[in-house]
Amino acid sequence: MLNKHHRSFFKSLDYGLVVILVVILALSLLVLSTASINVSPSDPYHYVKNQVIWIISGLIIAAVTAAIDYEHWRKLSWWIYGFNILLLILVFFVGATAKGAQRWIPVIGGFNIQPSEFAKILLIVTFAHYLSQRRDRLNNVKDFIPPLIFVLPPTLLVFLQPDLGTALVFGAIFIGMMFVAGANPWKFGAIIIGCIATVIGAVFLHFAKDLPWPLSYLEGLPLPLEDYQLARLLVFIDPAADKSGAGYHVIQSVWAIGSGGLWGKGYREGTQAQLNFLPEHHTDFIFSVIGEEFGFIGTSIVLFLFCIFLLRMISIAMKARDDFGLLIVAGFVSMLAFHILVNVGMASGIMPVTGLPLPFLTAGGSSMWSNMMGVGLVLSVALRRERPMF
Amino acid sequence: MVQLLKLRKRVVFLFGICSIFMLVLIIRLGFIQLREGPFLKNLADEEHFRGVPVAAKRGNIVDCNGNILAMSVSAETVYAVPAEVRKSGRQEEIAAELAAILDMDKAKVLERITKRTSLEYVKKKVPAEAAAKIKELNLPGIGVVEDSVRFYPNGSLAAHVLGFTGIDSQGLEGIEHSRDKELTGQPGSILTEYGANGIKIPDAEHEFIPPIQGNTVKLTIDKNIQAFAERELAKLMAGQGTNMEGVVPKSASILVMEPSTGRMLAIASTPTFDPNNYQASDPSTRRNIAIQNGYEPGSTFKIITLAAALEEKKVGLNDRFTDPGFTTILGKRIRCWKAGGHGTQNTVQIAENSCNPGFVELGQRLGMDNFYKYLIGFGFGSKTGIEMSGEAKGILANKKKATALDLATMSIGQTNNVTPIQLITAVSAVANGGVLLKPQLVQEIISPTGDVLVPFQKEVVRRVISESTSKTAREILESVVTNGTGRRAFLPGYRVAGKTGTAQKVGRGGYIQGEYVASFIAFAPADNPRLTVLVVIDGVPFYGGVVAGPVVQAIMLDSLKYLGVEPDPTAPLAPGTPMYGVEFPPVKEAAVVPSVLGHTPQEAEQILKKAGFKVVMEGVGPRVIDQIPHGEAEVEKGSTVLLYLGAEPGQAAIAPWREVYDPDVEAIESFGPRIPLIMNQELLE
Repeated sequence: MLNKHHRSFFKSLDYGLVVILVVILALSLLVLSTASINVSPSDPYHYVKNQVIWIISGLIIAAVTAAIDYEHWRKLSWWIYGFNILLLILVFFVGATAKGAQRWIPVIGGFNIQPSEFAKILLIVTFAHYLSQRRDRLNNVKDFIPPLIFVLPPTLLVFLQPDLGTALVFGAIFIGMMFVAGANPWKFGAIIIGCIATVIGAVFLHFAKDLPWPLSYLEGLPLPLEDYQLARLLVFIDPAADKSGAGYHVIQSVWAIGSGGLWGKGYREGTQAQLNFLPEHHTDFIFSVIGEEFGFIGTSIVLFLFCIFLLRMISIAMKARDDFGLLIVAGFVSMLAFHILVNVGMASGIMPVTGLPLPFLTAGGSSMWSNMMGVGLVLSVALRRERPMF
Repeated sequence: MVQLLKLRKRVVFLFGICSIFMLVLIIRLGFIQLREGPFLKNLADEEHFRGVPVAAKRGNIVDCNGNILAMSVSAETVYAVPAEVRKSGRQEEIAAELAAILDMDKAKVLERITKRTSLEYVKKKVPAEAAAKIKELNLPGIGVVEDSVRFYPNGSLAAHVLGFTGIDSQGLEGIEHSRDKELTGQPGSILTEYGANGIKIPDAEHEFIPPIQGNTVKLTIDKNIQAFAERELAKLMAGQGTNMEGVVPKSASILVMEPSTGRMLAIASTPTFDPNNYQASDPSTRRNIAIQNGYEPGSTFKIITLAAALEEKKVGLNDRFTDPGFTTILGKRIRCWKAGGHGTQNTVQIAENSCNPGFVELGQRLGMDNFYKYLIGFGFGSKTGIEMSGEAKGILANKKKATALDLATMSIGQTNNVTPIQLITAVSAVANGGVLLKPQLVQEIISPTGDVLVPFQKEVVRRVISESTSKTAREILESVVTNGTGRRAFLPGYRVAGKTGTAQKVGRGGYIQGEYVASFIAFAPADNPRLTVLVVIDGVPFYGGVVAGPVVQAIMLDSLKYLGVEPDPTAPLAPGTPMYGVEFPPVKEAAVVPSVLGHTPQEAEQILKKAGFKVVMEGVGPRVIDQIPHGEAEVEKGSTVLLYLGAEPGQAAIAPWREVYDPDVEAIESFGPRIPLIMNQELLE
């Protein structure tokens, strides 16, 4: 039985997805070896070594997750949901503060884990299960309320850490999965657009000056955001507003990417990153290093790899045995696509700075592990796909 | 199953949305990396490369034969990178060491090397040994870079033309200023990479962008002819001028032009200065008076009247002029300097004799419109466009208000104010066949590799008179030198044509007594002019023919020989018989004019008659409001005093003018009132 199982695991594994992933991971080591060289002067390869550990452990996690039939998670769905909420609450009590947010739970060995990273995957699984039980009940606006209530607790907990970026990822997962699950596109679309417009309007009013009456009463509308988050939003609206402060990241990143030109400055030749003008260049702004050192060619290759990675997962979703599996993949696709859009958009100056990592490329364990879990789930769906009858 | 199918459709749609995300990102990346890339790269490079500028070697200025007039010599500049100095923690010690070597105040050095800038100069133009010492010390954050200083090997030679440069080798005056762009070249730099913290990167990338040397500006000036001119000026200023009787003029200018091309072979003025050390000179000595000052040219201007009258066929060579010793215009008498007049003369003779009534008649024959046509045509009243800053336009009498009397005085070179460069340009047009050319100073621009980048090009402004008029004028002017008032410029074996001029100087409120602008303009050889020479000597009690003629003679002889112009075998070897006026009659008996301002006309007439003067009244009124000559002036006994009558004593005086005691030219009296023109344009500013 075990033998047979193994045989079928390796036989049925979606090697297409695995190959693309391996290429992306190899690329991530290459990029990190230039992007992190000046971050820890005592050991230039500190981050690369760590990343190798994360990748290997992550691949094991992915393999294990893939090997487990995702149908098992159905039964555990509510337990998982509860565990997720528990972890996110735990952060407030034992969390380590970094950059104004409590996001980390210290684990033995000096490593910290970031529950919000895993919360994304846990949310995808539980929400997929929830939605699969509500088929054909997403046609009215009223039907949208229970799923919203389902997603709201973890989202609010993340938002309060505060981690606006991850909260937005939850939103993206919610929207993507609701849509795939069959929500009435017109009604759902209208609500989403309405919400986005409200948020943009509120931000506008918060910063607005000299509005005509009666809008003037709404000037300086209070927003439930931290000062640094507001500053990021402001510099997104006008990067020159604070060139050496909050706008600095964006300006440096755009200069770095732009100065790469078509071919880039070459491996380890990127001045903005290597000379530390570009902050966070081994984490949130790693894409800027790709842009600077490998040029438009490099950025195009990375985006192309992500694109076929997503396409491959879409094709897995299409062949999924059931809607639970399909929704898991759709959730993971939504999450990755949103991460890529926001991270690359931020690096190139068309999205506000939110601190979302670039999947597989940004140095860091929690993000790698959670993404690997996601890949494992997708592979698990692929393993148990619908097969043509023999 | 139906449900799953619907979900699959939606998944495809999800991929569509993801694709749109990717497309947006790719377009954005393409925009900033491909389209904005070069611009953003510059911004990024500026951020981390600190350049120590390496000044380009400034191009040379050479004369028309390639002799160096201005060159650049290496010097060193000491600079500091304050961030590095601060990081070393040794700023006090460094400042002390630098202060000792550079002979500077320690506090000042310390302030500079710790200033919150990325790069700061400590001292420029540092002597080589001091620079070497600093290099040897290898102080953190202190560097030495090559710079250059300007050197004028010939000292003050052609100083007004060359100008000088400032501390950053930027041209401030003269050609140094007008051709600054060509001379400057492109500064290079030593680029060093700096991190975000302002500290030089260990084993930083050093990029050396070599400076591109400036181009050489080749002038039309001929060093030798310029030297001849300056030699003559030096003689004048040393009180050694011929016939000067030890008198030192206030200032003087000599201009030499090639009439066929407009090339200026020499422009020399005195007082002058040494551009190597211009700071030490009095700013007034740096004024290029040959270009910036106007004066009343006097009889030299008769060349223009003559050429205009010939061109308009208002006069033939054999026309007869009768000079009874004066001519009357609008009831005013303009006398000829020779008592009883020159009698009957032909056209050539009125020129030879510089006969005032004769030229007044030429002016009248031309008429106001024609006269102004040639005035403007020859370029008076407008800039010649010579490449020197601050060129004066001169001042012409307002045509609308000009009277027949003004026409008369303008015909003999009074009333209008012209610059020396205007006069030499106009006379060169008479000499060269009738074409007014733009006077030029730059022959060529030559690249450091020796290629001619901008060749010389003659610039024709307009044709003013015909070839044949030019030829006739040349012959008449040759006769002036050979037989007439210009004999002091006669050169045996060469055909010299020219004209003298003496003008009374205008100061504030009227003419200055006993001080003239003596001038002489000549060109040679008369049949094919190679050179036009103008000598203007300002502030001397002598006449143009007497003191400026010999100067022209000396420069002309030396320059013609230097240029290899062979003597003409057909040229006369001795001047013609002396004429009247060549021996100048001395002032017979001097008398001091009493001031009669404020008196009634009757009282004034009485006082003046008692002192032995004749009286002419002008205007109507109970009081004398002005008189010419003014009180206390020393003039010839028995001459006429002009009284202006008016209602109020002390009303704005209208200064009249005249050219007294110029037997060479004219003894003019009894002229109508006119607004005085001012010698020095600066007074107008």
